[in-house]
Amino acid sequence: MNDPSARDAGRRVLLVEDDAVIGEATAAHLARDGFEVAWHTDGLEAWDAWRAADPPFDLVVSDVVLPGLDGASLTRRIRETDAVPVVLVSARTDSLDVVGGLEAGADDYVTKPFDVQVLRARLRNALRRAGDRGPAGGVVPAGEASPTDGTETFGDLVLDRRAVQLRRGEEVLALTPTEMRLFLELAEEPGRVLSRRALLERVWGYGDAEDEDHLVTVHVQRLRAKVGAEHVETVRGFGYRLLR
Amino acid sequence: MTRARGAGRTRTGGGLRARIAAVVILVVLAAVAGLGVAVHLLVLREQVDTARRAAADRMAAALDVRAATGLLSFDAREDDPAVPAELRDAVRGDGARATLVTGGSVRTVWAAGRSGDVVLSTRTRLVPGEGTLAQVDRALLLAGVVVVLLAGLVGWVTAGRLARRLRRAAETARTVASGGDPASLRRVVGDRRDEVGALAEAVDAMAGRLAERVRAEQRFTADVAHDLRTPVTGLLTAAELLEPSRAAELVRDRARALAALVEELLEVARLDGGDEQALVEQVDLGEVVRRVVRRGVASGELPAEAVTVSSDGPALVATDARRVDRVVSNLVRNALRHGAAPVEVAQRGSVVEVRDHGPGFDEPLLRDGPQRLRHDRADAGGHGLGLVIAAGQAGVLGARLELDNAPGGGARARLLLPATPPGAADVPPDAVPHDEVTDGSRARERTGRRP
Repeated sequence: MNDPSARDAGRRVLLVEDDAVIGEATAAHLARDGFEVAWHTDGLEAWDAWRAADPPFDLVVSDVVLPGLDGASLTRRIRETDAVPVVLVSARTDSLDVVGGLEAGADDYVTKPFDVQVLRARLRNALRRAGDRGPAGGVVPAGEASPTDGTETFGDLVLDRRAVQLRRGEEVLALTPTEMRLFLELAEEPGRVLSRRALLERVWGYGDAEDEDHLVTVHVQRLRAKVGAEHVETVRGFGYRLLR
Repeated sequence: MTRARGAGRTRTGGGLRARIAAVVILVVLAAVAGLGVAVHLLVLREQVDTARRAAADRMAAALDVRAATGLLSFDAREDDPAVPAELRDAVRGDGARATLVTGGSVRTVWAAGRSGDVVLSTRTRLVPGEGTLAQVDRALLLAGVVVVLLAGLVGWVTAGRLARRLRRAAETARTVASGGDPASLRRVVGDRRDEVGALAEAVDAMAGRLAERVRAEQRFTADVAHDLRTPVTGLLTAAELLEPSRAAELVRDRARALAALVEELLEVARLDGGDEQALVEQVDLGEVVRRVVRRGVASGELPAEAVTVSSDGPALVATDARRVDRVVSNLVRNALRHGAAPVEVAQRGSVVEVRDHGPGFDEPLLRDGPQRLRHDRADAGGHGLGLVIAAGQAGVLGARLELDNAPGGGARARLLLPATPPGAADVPPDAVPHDEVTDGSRARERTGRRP
């Protein structure tokens, strides 16, 4: 776990970037980090590659503005069947682009011009969240005494920390790893307000230097849409809390 | 918004109005006075003439009576020694009757005539100030005063209307000039077709053209920054692939600097666009400020010993921490680049002050506020966008950014955050949810809650 490149070795990345230099250089960086990279310059081609991939990709890194199919639409199509981490690369300043991508289900994004170190950190965090989700690496937060059967209830929701599953009755809610991580952080102490800043640090692993306007807002919206708006309360000016 | 300038705005007083009213009064006063004097003189002459005619008639009658009866009548005297020599000579010379008026304010009307060797004369006292003339004078004076007052009033009101239109136009022009709402002077001065209207239209046209030019420049900046973004990202990403060497280090360093400049340009373009919104949260302002410095030191950008942070205790402020961060970090970097260490960052309540010990802000900066890309400073080591961004972000926060020079020397920038940030007026007073975030007593004061 300590050597990231060893951990990432053999992981398959779908890179979608239409700029030749950025695409080639990013692919080279990812390859250097041990990823197996499939680079496409067209959104539709990338979608075909995604569908044909066997074994499936572990990570998607996509530009937002693309020929064929834009990044947000590509993300939406992928999300219909899969919770794979998607990190968007946005070249546009207007945040509508970014919000659209996040609403489509992207986990995170970086803005051009980006520093390779930043992209690397974002990808690693996205992969870590996805990795946390697997049954083998399931998280039981330290210091949190779970009930004997390992489940907690929040109204009509049942959280099974061991299986990392959120159920409503018999139905298992399809949360992406990032949404799950967000729910887990809020469930740490129901009723307690977590600020946007705290969630950025805990869920996305953002450091002191990094801040972002839309990531938390849009993810909370997405989480609400899936678990029911009544469970996650916005405390204006302070943050969010989970209601039992 | 930013006000680099101190107080001391020039105000338009009532100068124009008072002057116009005074001129009107003076002109009317002169006219009334001239007319009054003329009327007075005419009436006086008429009065004297009447008195002369009456005296002459009486003298004629007295002469007739004397010739017929030898008696004196009509107050006539024989050979009165008081008769002016001039009159006596005239009467003796050609034997006719004559009249003469002597004296100033009190006049004497003489009439004389010869009857044989005897000179008959009468004298009548005439005081012009009495009777009709006095009444005429009083009437003239009264009418004059009324007319002057009326004219003055009309002048004052008319001039006031003109002055008010001009003053409103000036105020609007000043608001537009200081970056306020673009308003039409034409609308402010009304739609009368006169010189003021023409001036207003001319100024409107000028303002419109200038605004258009500024917008074009802003668009150009934004487009350039957008277009630079992709190649700069490529450059940056590719530069990171270079094998470690001094050359690679230099290329990477410059590529990062270029990327930073592009990001700053984009930030300026976003701020120019005017649709940036603050994302308001309750934050500990002291912690936000400490984080800026901590991060700068950790990244090696700020020399650890050059920047000191002080705080007067935890201060919960409803603001957008990310934007405060942008303002403070730009101020600190600007202080290190153009000023000199030590840079003191102090947070007092909702005010953050950044002070350095360099030469201070120069006069044009204090006068005009931060301008983009100024290169007139001898020590300009970088592109001057930092203060522009700081001012722009302060504007989004609804805060004021005050720039001046500290009494002991050195530049001083103060960010004054508003009690109520933009868009946060609807925060419910019971929005204080948890002990951890409500620890500062200020939060309770702010929300009106009792501890």
